[in-house]
Amino acid sequence: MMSLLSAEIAEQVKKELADLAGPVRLVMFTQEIECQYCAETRQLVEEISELSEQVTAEVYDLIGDSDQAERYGIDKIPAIAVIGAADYGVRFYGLPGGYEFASLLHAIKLVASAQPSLADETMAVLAELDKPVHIQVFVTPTCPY
Amino acid sequence: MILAHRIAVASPMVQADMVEATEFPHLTIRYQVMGVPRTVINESVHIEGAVAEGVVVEKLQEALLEAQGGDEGEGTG
Amino acid sequence: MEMDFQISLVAPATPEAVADDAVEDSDAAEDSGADGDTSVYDLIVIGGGPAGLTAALYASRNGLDPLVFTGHMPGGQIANTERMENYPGFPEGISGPDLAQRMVEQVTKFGPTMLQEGVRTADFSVRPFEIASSSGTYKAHAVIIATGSFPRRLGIKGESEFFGRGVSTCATCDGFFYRDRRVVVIGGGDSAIEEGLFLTKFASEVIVIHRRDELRASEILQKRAFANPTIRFVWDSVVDEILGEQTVTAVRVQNVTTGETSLIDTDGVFVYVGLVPATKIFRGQLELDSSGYIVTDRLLRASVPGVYAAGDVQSPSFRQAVIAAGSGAMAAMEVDRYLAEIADD
Repeated sequence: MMSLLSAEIAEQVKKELADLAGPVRLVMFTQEIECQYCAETRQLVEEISELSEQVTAEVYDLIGDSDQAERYGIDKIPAIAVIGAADYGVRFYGLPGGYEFASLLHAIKLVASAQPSLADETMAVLAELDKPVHIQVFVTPTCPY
Repeated sequence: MILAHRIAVASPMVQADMVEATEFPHLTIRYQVMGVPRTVINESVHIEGAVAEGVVVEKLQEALLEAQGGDEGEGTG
Repeated sequence: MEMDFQISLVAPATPEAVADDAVEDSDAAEDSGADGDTSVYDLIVIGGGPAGLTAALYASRNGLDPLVFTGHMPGGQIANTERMENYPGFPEGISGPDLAQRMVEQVTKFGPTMLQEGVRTADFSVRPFEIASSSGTYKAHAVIIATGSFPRRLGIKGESEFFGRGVSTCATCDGFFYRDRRVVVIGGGDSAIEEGLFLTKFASEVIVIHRRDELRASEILQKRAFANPTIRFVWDSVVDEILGEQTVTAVRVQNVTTGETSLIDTDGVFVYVGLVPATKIFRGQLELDSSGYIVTDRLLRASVPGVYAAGDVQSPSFRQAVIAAGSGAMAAMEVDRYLAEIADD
């Protein structure tokens, strides 16, 4: 199958991921008969994992590996859980194409470093949280915002 | 990088999903997504467009207060 | 659905950076705490559109090692242009995001320091100049301002309330949500018509509402729009209110010649009524014209020596990527001369 990442892009991704602060697992969920975006998402995480020693790809079946799906709280596919030293709750649903590809690279670097670089006031509010919070950000790959 | 993801990394209580709206039409209907980015916090609070960190924090507090209001009734704020 | 897999290494705007641009956010100018960088750069370029990126390209090739703030949307206005057919060198046309990415890649090759951040404050009263972003305060002997412009709002009832719930300024972002629905496009310039044509891929009907009886858009776009059966025009009319409940349901339209008002049912409103310059943080420090554009001389020098302006932020008359790129190059070459002069003193 043709690569999703051109040689040129792959080279840049390699550079971007060259000095990751720690190992990152891209835990990807698909299903036996893959939807188009599932297949492409799986291929994408596999290609990225080949560009860095620190990044590994794990592929699971939403139905067949329901224990893993439950563990990572995955309820739809394609899904990527971006896992660093811990599971910080960073998820991507759908193929991270277009502008969202850069978001995925950022997320990889983010969980590797575990440095969220937020304002002190934000950190203070987050420290007070005593209930789970679920944030969903809806995007389209063609939106630069 | 997505602010929501940074917030997730900062707090063990937060999970942040980036959702490709075009691939999950049932969710775009459920959350009435007609423009992106649209942020939904705990099903109840919505943010339209890209906003500053402070605004997201405010909305996060709003979502929590709403939940609290539901659990404990009035007079706790 | 057929869709070529396309990716961009340019990140989408971070919400924080949008506010950092300090063009709409009044309390962005808080102390970031960090010191950034104690070194003094020859040049800081503010802006990541064609003007800023070309300035960075020329400056880097001249050995200046500039610091570049690409802001919240590398590519600037072209990043949300679906197709560009008038940028020389691309006979088949090129998508705006692709062109933006190529520009970023080309600049990156020459190694300037690029920060994907907006600028919060600029102090031109001190030497070296001080530019502050969320990551700290940076110093430079010269500054090129290429912050460009952002979409103008109509300022009518319903516009803010329904933003993201029917009101949009980005067809490439949000067009998908209007499949088989009716939308209106407000405006008559190139952006309005280009985006209107783009929306015909999704919408069942696109109604262009324009305040005059002819379009300002280029001839070729006009021809395409008139030939497109999905597009209908409402002339001599302005929208004075956007109505809805949960989401947009209609616009109220007033005919400017007869004064008559009517309602047009619609699910979406795409607003393309021009742009305003992103110069808020420079107010009071640099001479701006009555519309907020930075006043420069022929060599793009702003009212403070060592400060230059390029692209849309300096000239509202053309608003073309190729002209922005050209003026970015000019500014960088002028900075080179300026730095040589101050080094002699």
